[in-house]
Amino acid sequence: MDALSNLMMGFGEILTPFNIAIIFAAGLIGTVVGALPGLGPSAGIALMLPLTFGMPEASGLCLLTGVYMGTMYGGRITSILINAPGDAPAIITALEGYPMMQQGRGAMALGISAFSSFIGGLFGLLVLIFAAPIIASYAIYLGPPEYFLLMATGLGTVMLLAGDQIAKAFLVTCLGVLVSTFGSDYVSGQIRFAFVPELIEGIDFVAIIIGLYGLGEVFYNLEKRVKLNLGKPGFRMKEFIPGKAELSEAAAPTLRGSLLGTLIGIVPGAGATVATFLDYALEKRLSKKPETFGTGNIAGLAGPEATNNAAVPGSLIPLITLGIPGSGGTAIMLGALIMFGMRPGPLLMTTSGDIVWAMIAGLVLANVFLLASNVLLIPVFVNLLRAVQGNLANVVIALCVVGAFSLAYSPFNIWIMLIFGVVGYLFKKNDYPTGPFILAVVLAPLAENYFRQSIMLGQGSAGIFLDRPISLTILIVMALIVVLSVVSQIRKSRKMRLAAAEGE
Amino acid sequence: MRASELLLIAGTAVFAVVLGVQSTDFQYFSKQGFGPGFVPMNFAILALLLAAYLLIKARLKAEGPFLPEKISERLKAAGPAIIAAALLFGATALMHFGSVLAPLYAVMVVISLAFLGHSLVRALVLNAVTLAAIYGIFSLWLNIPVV
Repeated sequence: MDALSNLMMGFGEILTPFNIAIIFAAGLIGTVVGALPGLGPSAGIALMLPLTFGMPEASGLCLLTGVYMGTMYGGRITSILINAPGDAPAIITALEGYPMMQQGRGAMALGISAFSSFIGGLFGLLVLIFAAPIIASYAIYLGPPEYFLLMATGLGTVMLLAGDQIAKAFLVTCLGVLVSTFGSDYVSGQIRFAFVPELIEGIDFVAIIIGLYGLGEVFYNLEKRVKLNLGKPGFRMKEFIPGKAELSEAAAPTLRGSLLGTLIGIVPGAGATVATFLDYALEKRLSKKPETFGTGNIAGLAGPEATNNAAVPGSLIPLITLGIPGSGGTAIMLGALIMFGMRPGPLLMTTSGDIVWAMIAGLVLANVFLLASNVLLIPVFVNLLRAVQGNLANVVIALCVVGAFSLAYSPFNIWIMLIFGVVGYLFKKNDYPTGPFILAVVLAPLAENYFRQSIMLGQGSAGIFLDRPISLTILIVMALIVVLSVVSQIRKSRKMRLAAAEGE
Repeated sequence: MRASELLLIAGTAVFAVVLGVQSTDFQYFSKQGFGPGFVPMNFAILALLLAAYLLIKARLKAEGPFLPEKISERLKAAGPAIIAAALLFGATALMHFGSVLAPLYAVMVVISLAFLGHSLVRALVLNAVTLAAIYGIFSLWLNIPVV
């Protein structure tokens, strides 16, 4: 009941005309950004971050989480209409949605996916509302050693974000850690690597992500001469609303996807992309007609759509309760929480509970708005995309430059943004994962502080990590994650080798 | 190996060397615990080792010549990205004279004309409208002094 009364308090905070307008706008912006090929939740949140400067914390966070949720809705639009996923979790949507479009059922695919997204988001939010306070109540018993190990677990998810590129992921992680060491050292008070006075406070995280995702993508697309061709949609409204037959076919996959998405969203590093692929495999295995997958199967469309939206609130659970971001998007959200002067971690629900509950209430509202807007305004989204598609590169460049300038009202952060734009372009061109880099930039300073504080507490001995029961438990879990990841990698490469040998 | 990957690895290695050397100015360890030099020193060394590993791995895998060939062709292919980056670096230098939007507008028009296939009038109007919208959001709505 505490959770419900807190949620009501959150609604009390956000139900003002300004906040309602912000949440509605955030959902729309997120939907549009998510629909733009190449721009996903990370880019959407990064681009919107400068707009939150000067806003009250609750409004700013509602804007960012609304954009986050909106990108998950939006990713499906270009997937279904033109077979171009707006972001990685929408890849599966294209597998089933685009064939439906080719069969003349594109409008129905958009409608079904909107309803599944809504149910998935709602399910994830219910889990967030009722589970987050319980996790947070146990979290107050944690000290610097446990904090450090939690941060290290977050950094350890680099292996999960790395895919097949473990060495590359570790190199970009090291680069991220080195970038994070610029500026004031919080433990000793010394200034590190301040080659110019602007670096005394370190390199601004927002300038890095705007460059890495926004500008890096533009450089890459300019080189590849990527041109959007969204065509003419021309759908009638009633064609978007699924009937009884479609809804009953989609119901069970949607519920399964909601559960799986929330659970995988909670696991740091797994994220919506992994969850959608797993759910698609599950639906195919459970289907009586697995051969229809890939030809416009409603279960194959509805399940993963629910999954990727359920993963958003799911990934917010470790972020809010433990300070661990589970994905690139939540890593940026972590940066935003720090920017608003909050201390992400176990005490967040205690010290800033009013803001956190307002943010959760904002997410509930955003989910309802998003269902309505995604069903009713799809022709508008598509036409808006069509309006800017010819000048998309310049729109993103302008947003990046002005956004970076807004950080400190000086061109210094534009230089930083440009440098990381080039780095992002090189990463993308050579298949270096950006997720581990972002995780390292965000988590490394926190991990370093907690690690050094822990060693000081242990009077110079690392034995403190083994002496405390919670930290010992986290250490064991970390070891298990590492061992399981390594074993699965070895198995995967063995299977590939065997398959290659059979092919020969 | 691709020239761009070589550039990325070499750049990371140089960055790691610079920070690694600089980190010797800070205390590494004391009786109470680790100092501010601990993390940068260790991660600089780790980054160098990983950079070397990736280079050696690429060298062993390479069937043809290891170092990139036909550099001029590759530069030509990457031309739009390189030119756009160079234009933005130049424009940022000009922003120190006071205006952010004027140099940005010039870059956007050049990119429109050179890479997006717009006519001069379309490039001028489209980018003016884009910047007007951004000015409205950032300067008029949020009071951020972007001029």
